[in-house]
Amino acid sequence: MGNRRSPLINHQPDDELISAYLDGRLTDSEQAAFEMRLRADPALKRQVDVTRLLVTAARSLPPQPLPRDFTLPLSISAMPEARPRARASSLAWFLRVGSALATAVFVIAMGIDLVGLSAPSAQPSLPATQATVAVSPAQSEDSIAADAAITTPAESGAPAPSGAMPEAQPMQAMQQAGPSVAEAPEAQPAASEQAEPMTMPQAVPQVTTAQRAAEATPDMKSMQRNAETERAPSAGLVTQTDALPAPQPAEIGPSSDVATLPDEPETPLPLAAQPDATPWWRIVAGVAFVLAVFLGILGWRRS
Amino acid sequence: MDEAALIKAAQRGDAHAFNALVLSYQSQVYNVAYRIMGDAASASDVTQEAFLSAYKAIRSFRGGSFKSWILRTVTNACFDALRYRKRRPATSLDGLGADDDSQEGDFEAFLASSEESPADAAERAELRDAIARAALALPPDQRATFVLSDVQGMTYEEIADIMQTSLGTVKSRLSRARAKLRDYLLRQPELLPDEFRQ
Repeated sequence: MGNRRSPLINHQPDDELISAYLDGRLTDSEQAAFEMRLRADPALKRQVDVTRLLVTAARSLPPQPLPRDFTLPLSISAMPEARPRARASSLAWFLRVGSALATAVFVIAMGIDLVGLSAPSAQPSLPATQATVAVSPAQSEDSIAADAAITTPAESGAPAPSGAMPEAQPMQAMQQAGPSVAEAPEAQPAASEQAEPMTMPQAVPQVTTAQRAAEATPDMKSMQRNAETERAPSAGLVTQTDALPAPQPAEIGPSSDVATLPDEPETPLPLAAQPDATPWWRIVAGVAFVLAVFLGILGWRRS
Repeated sequence: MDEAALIKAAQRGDAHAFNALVLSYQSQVYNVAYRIMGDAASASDVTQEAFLSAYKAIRSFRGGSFKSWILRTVTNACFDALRYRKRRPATSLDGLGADDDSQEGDFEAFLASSEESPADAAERAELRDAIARAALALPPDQRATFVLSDVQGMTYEEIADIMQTSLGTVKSRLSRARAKLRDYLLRQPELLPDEFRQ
């Protein structure tokens, strides 16, 4: 068997030459050189002759009669699965565009989350009733005085808090935090309009706040500092907070006005004001992600 | 209606126009399928499948030679059917592989089996039938190239367009296919005319 394979291996270049020669694909010079070889090599000439016979015989193979007619039934144009794919393709195109747009929205929303643009926009997520917990200019002045009163225990090296402080406590302080001192006059009309729903800011009396601040654990302090850092752009007295070891209610500034307000029963915080409430951009990102996957799969199946 | 108008009408979903194209090419399409597949039943199935696929995909036809496009469709359908057949060991053409290395052994095995009864082969088959039969033992890509070139008489350029490959690949596949068939004929001198016998 091995000796029979030898012609295929040894004459591989000749095979291409023979094929090109028979098909008239050689240049004039190549053809002349090859014909000189043919005259000198009877074995090569025999190969060429047999190959020519092969090609001639193959081209004379009779065409096979058709076993049947291959025309399609005219009803095929009414069959959706057999219809030319124009309509499906256009629908698939729209689905893909929708998927691409949803993906873009998802990327933008995640970009907002990653870049940190979310921090300034977190403040508006609070309900207007809390966001506009503002005090009059006179109250603002009082609040500055209250700040000093509240921070005094902390500055005096109060003992570490017990840690039993409710989790809502920092949020209460944040909700009590109205606009900064500079913003207070602008926010006052809104506050006057929505004064009735705001029962919470007055919930924490000054003494209670100071005591709880004094009881705050170091961990709680660090958490509060982190929260303050995030709210720094909207807080008017940021530099004070950095310097103060006291808890957040005393650091936010105008928010501590509430310490001077009379006691009122504490009310639970609205859900939107909870610290772990999902930001809007994450909701948008989630919806966009689901849409992108859903539309992409639909578009892929339609194509 | 000329071919271009028929194609445009078919692209709009006109089944009449597409059937006019089918009538023009069905004989050539079926014969290509028959020479590649080797039997009428498989060729018929592949031809029908190719025309149905062509109807569904006719909007993707962007001009050029419709003949090349429809022959490309049927050639691909043949390759798909041969691959499917290879996964079924019980079929008659079991052992035909897609790659050349595995096909070399198949072709040699075919030659050996043919040599076992040269007299019977000479009696029952003429030269053309022997060539057609031997071609079925070629690798599918070489077989399709041989059928398109030497049976259908198409040029290298047309074959390259149909098989979506380069001109050099077409030349190489064709020369290898011819060499294998030629060696087969040289080992079967009784199949050759007297002047070719030594």
